[in-house]
Amino acid sequence: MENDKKGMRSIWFFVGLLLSIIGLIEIAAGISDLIFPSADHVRLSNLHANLWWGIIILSAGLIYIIKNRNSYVTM
Amino acid sequence: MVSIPLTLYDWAILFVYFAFIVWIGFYLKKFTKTDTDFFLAGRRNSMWVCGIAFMSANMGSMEVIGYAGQSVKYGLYAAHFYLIGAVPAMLFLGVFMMPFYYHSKIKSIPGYLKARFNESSRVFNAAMFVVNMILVSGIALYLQALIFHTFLGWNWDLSIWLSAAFVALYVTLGGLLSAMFTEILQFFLIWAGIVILPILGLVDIGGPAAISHSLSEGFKTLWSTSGSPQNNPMYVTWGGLVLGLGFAIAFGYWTTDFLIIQRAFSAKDLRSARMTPIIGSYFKLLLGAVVVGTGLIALVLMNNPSSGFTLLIENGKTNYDSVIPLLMCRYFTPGLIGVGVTSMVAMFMAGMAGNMSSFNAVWTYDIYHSVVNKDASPQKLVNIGRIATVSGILLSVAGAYIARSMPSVIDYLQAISSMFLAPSVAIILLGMFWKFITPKGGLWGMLVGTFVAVALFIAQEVKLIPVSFVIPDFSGADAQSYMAANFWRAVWAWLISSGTAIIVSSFTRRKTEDELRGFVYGLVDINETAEEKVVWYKKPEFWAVVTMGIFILINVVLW
Repeated sequence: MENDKKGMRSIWFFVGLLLSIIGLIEIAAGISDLIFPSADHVRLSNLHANLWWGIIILSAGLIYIIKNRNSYVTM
Repeated sequence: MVSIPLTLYDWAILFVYFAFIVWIGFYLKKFTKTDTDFFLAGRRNSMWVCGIAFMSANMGSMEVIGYAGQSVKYGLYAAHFYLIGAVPAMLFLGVFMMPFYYHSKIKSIPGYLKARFNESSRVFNAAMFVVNMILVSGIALYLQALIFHTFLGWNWDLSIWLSAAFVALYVTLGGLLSAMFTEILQFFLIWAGIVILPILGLVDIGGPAAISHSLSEGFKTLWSTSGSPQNNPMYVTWGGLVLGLGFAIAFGYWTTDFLIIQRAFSAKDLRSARMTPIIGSYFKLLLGAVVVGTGLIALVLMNNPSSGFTLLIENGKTNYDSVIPLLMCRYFTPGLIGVGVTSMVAMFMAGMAGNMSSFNAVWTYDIYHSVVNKDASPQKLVNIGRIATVSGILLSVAGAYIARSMPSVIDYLQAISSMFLAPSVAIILLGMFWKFITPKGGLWGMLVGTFVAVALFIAQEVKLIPVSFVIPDFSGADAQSYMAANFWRAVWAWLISSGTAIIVSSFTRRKTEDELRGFVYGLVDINETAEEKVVWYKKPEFWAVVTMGIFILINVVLW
């Protein structure tokens, strides 16, 4: 309720939240793939693109969250 | 049938996306109180929010999945849709047209036609827009269901109805505000899902040099083979590209299609509104590099039999739209597949939400409020907008089943655009820059131009005239000239609309200068369009010149 009085949260905060959650899931998939390789049939699976792409997405998400954690749009 | 094996991680990403979209709809509902909140997102958005939503509304499935397929078919010629078919028109909108649109306080493009011409022009244009939106939404819904059905193995009917239900839920709850919020989220998801694809593809084929080595001249240049239709895979000349795609179709879409311009109307001030399409133009260039690059990589793989890469063949016909999903199958490991599939879903959702939020605004303001109930209260208009969204989606479901029965939705979609957009742009540009055009001239110009374009298309479809009938510089094979025919049909529609408007205007009553004030170039109060003083590098004109420079450089390098 307190947040409602402040106004609407900035869209960039939600962008950060979504990217962070998806980045985390991708990293989990990448680590799981490292320990239990399951995608040998996929070309270039040795590059572990899911792991490093997950790290990039999570990093982008965290930057958006930190920069916009106190950002509200007054209605 | 191809089926992408989704793991628990991939399903989790898809679930997070859907949960987020629905939750955002409920979160924004409490902030959507007035009709301006619902239809114009409160007119308080920054240029970045508007610019990204503007591009996201354009980044539907056709723009990404469709044009990657077109790149396999036409090589680098498909890049023209992102270059001459987009950039000049986007910059013209931002630099010259936006001040008229923004300051006239209109809520839709038909609203501008009413102010500049008369009520009949507004209703005719609104009716054409509504028909166009239903047909386009039906195709988008069909393509979304095709992805669910083909790649996830879902039941066909369930795929269509589930997609429709999600779009209905979040657009009905929050209107444009909700659509724009989700468009921005989708924008980031789309990039997260597609940028990685050409990166992995380039590693696989051995770098950009492999594209140059593997492809013939016609497939890897933009203009050098456009002197004769037989020298390039699109069977088109530079005349058709410049006049048809670059002018009639591109200006029709980017400067008069309310679907995308609505995002700029929600900007907090004029500078933000003008920057909206200019910011969009940078993302458009980047999107072209990713999408066309992905298509060219697929072409290189197909030219090399040892790669084992082929497109889907359905009923003996190559399915070009399968390029991106099949490359995802080739390179994406668990987790990446989730992001890839979610980005494809996001493309469809972004396109559909854009269609529906502009459909409900035009239906409510330009048809219901203008013709049915002139005294409706703002709350009544919001409710009508919500009902229009649900009705529009139901009609789109019917359209999806019609699209499913058609042999080629891509040619159909391009034909729809050439018929409905070219007459509008002819009349809006004439009306905006020349006070000579009268209300009756504008109305008759649109009527005759649309009628001729539709008649030419129908005559072509029932084989009364050959496909090449509308192409003046024709010298290729008739059956391969659909794209050139779409370009030239748009040129004729534009010329006939303009000619009719000028002829009718020469013997009908003109509006007085007082009546035209604010709506015609040269009759706008300078104080009205004065922007706050900003340093040179924050001016829309500066960033438009930079984009134009990049645009020229790309065309010269890839000549």
